[in-house]
Amino acid sequence: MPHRDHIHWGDEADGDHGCEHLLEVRGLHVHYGAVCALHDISFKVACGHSLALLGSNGAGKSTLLKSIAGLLPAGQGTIYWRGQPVRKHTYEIAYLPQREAVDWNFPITVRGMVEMGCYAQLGAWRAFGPHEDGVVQKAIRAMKLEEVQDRQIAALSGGQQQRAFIARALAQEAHVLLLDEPFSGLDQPAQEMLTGLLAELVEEGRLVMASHHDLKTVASSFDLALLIKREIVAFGPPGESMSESNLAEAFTA
Amino acid sequence: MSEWVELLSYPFNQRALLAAVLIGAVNGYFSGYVVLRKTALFTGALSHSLLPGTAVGFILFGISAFSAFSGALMVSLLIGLCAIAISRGSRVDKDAALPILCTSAFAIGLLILDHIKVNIELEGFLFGNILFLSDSDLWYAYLVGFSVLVLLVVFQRPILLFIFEPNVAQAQGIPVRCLSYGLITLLIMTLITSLQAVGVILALGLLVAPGATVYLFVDSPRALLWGGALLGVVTTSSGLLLSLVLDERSGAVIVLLAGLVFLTCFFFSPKYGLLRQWLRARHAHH
Repeated sequence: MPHRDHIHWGDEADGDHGCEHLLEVRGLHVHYGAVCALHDISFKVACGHSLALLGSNGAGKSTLLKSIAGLLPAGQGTIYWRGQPVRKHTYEIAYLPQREAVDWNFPITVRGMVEMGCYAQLGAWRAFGPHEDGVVQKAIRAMKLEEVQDRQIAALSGGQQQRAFIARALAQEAHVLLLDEPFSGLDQPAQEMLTGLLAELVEEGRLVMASHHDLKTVASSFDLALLIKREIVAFGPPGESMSESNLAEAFTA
Repeated sequence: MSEWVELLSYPFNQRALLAAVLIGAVNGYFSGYVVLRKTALFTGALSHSLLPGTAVGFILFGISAFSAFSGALMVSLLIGLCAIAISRGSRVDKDAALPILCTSAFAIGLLILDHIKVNIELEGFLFGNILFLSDSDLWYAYLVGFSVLVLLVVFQRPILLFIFEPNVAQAQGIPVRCLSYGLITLLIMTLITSLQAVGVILALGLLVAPGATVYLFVDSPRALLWGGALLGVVTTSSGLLLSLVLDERSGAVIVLLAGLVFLTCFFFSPKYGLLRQWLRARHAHH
């Protein structure tokens, strides 16, 4: 079977993805009623990078992630993935909700939830085949969830819950992962583990974008930082973009 | 045993049993979704609006199952929209707005029924009379019930995805708004179908109880849905037979049975029962 996924991961990792897929946001404006949430956002980022979205509460981090995921009614501006509007690539872009937004009592096991990731490509009716079984298995292994795969999702630690959602995005064979505050509420070891796993995903050629609030860990976890306060304050490697003046501008009211 | 065989030799009892099986299956399957979506309250409000809905339908389109359905659909959608409008426009939330609206609607329905020349017995509306079903009632119920069940099964994946995480479903291109309205329409169709045979209280009970009961046992949405259907069939048919043997009202016996089954499982489910949780908490303390 030919690879539907240009990313080689898990057992097939060969370290050479040679991918230059580009996510491009051009002139994005978002309004909630009369309130301007995002103003004239434009930037480009290629896969194989990890990007931290920084800004104070209400600066538009979640709004930007949701816009890229196609969750907000189309305002002004366009978002392109691989040269086409993102709406044409629904399964390649995975949005991961904040942990608080999830119904953890939903009667589903980790494995069941990861299998749901395959629905994006299978649609409503096509049956699971060997390809899907393999992908689910690989995703569970990549996120180190083998031992808890039969547990109901409320019976997981915070870090495991976060990883379970990432595993589902992997089963979806997503290239772009949009994470809303993935590190919030995790203890130190869980944060470190997640950082390592996200780095592996980036290595495989995926694009990881996460809203983030802990400024100290940005440089060690991400290779790009985007500071926003309704508009872009700074964009670039953390060493450059996170200068004192930029941070002051982004985080003062 | 011979008593049961004799009871089931009457055609009206046979029809009642066939209706009970269908309604148990459709409502039971649906109850899984109702429990997952946490829309039991909304479903209750909707069931009340069936009274004014059917009355309005009868006034507008004459007496038929179709007019009952279209009237109910219109009035329920109106009530749903009003509830949303009230909750958006003030500090009163939807959970408070819905009961006010649905009790008012129910009262309006009663007043309308007093003034039109349609003979709807309130008791029949509440508890139905499964023993007075005609062949055509049964055919109609099977047609609608079966279509609802097929649609729910066929669209299981998108519906589950939508219920679990509307955001992710929308990001994957699932038309969430259509799905949400579609589910409400199917819910109304299910209520109407059940209304003729078993009344609104039983329909409501069966749209929540089986799913809520199975929810105490399973960790898989598919098991919840099919388990709800199975439990629905078992409760309705055994409740009906029990009512025949005891010579009590069928609707009331079936609802009561569903409630008792839920209560028992609520305490004693080995997985998520109260007793189990209590023991686990005690265990953790020592």
